[in-house]
Amino acid sequence: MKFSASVIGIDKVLRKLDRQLGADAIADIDKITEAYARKMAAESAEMAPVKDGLLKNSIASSPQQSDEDIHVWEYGSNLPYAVKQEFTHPSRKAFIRNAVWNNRDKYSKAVLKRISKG
Amino acid sequence: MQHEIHYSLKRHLETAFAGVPVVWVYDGVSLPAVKPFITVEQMQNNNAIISKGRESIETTFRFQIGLYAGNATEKDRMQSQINRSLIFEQITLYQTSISPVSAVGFFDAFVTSVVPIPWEEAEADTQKHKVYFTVEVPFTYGRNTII
Repeated sequence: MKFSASVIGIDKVLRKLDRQLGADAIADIDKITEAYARKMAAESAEMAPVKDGLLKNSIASSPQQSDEDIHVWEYGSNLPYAVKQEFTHPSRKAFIRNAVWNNRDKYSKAVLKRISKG
Repeated sequence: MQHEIHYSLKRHLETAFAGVPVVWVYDGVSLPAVKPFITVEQMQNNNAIISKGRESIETTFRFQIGLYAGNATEKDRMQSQINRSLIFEQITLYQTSISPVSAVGFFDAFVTSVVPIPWEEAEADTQKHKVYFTVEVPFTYGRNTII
């Protein structure tokens, strides 16, 4: 069971903005999305419980652009026990969610700042 | 405010599921031996300053609600009921720092994920039929807010 978080670039909004902002702005927002997906994955890997290092390494190497939408980046782990550790580990649970919660507002502000620039 | 929201969520679930134990998860807590039961556990909060001079702050309070069901059918049914109860019903906010506890308002909760936990053969039967809900409660308050 794959467990992952998606960093979704403002897909529909981007399409609407495309006419006004131009391709450079869209490319910049995609770069911001990628950067935050990689940042969150690195932070999640750092917070993940470590026994043999497999979980940590699987998260760190996981960020990738979605196959279905080029504005979406995903990260997580394909290890079968990842989801259980995320929700039930006694001292290190929520290693995926904490990274998302810590970066969600900053990511939104970074995108808004780029849009404001025009 | 942390205690008030935690207490209010627990009481909301107790009201919605009469007879089902709702456990406040704290360090060293013992879970009931008999299922079904529900757990409410505090997770990470985040603060956002929404006005200059810190006059107004938004704290997102987060909780992990666990459903431990007795069988697969019970899990599916209670999962849907908990989901609906948290999404569609306003939750009564109780003031817990003054005795007796009293209702002082309402708040909305947002269910951001509902995740079933797979069971492994090496685990005890008590670990079967578990679902976790991640719940967020955003609350905006100022320097002089009392609760």
